[in-house]
Amino acid sequence: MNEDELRAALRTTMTVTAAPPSMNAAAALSRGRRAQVRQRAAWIGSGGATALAIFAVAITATAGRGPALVAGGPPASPMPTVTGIPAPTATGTKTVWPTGPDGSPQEDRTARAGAQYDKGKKLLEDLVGAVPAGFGVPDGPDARYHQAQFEDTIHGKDIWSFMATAQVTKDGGTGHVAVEVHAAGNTFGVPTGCALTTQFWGMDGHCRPVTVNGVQIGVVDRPTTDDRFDQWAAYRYSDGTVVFVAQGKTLMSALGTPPKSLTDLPYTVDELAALSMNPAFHVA
Amino acid sequence: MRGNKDEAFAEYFIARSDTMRATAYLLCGDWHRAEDLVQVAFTKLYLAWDRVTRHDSLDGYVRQTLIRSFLDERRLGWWRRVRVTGTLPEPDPISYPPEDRLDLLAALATVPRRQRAVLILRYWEDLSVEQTAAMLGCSVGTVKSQAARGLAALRGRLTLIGIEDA
Repeated sequence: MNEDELRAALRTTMTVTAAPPSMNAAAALSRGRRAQVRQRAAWIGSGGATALAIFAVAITATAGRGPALVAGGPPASPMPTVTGIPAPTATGTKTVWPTGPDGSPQEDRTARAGAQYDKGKKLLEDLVGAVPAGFGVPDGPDARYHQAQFEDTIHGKDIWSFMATAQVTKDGGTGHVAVEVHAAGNTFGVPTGCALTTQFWGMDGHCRPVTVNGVQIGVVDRPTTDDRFDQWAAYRYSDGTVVFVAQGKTLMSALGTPPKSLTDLPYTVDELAALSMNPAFHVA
Repeated sequence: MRGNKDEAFAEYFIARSDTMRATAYLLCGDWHRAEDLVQVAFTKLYLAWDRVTRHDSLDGYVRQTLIRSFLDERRLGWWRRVRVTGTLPEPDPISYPPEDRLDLLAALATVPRRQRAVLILRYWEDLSVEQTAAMLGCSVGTVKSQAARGLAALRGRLTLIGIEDA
């Protein structure tokens, strides 16, 4: 199932699913009014003077600014409120992210400093260091990227994943390489070989086993329809850490025409399989 | 003033609540819970009505409230107890195999909640990657990776139950 098939399947599902009768607008309005009464009661009970002071500060702070809605939604930062009813972005529905190096929770899943961030940074350095001789790796934020991302808390343990990508150049062409590591405790389960490799980013392709030091590595050497990468491989360590490595001749560009493609991929299929077992990528 | 607000709110509710409920249903697979999510979202909208002055953004406000309520981890225990297909009404008598429809919903229910939210926003609501990132408060890269993993998880589940070829 690809993106278009899922889109179609969702529509088909909702077309053939009989929905209950429409919800009652009068009841919704009644609930809204009751909530407003409770809101006002809470406001009075919590001290009108304090609330007014907050309100005055909020009005001053936001004077001249529009609501700055994003994607048709609420503002990126909570709107000023004088009540106990939070805006959608307030803490009432907010996920608690892992604590960052400054002792405060992260803003979102991505670590922007600290030990996990540093692991992602080192992963990028190791990825660049593994690029074969004869290929260049441009510098700069557009050409090199790394990210450490909190995935979930499983059995009380924070599970992280790390990704690094780099552009690679040769003879005027530009392609890219990537590595993604899911630390031990991830939810990939036990598959190895092609069963593991074909889980990478949901991309389909022709997968074949390649033996490296007696271990069978699944390598997709020809994608079916997805053109984000040309080849990718995966390896699962005994502790459960999963490493995906990938390479593409063509740099995907969201804006404008992509640069000229590489003539040849940086790695052979065997080399890519071996790269997935690079101990430097075994991020704990 | 209140009359105008109430009238506008009711009109908007009539126009959009079914659509929002469908999104909620795909997220949680249960009509009753979907209506709970819609009620929460619209009640918050009523309270915020005067502040949400750009009415063409009402959809975004309600959608984001709904999504974030769904993702609220304090309700996690409730979600895990929900039987995905337990309260489905009878489908219309047309030729689409009902078991495939139920299988898709059941498979969706196995996708981690955040990935599921990305899938629904991207492929049901047809939001762009950037809009989805803004709605979920995460990076564009995170949306891409979560979408890819969600699709992979969904595909894996459908393969297990024989809807997709292995």
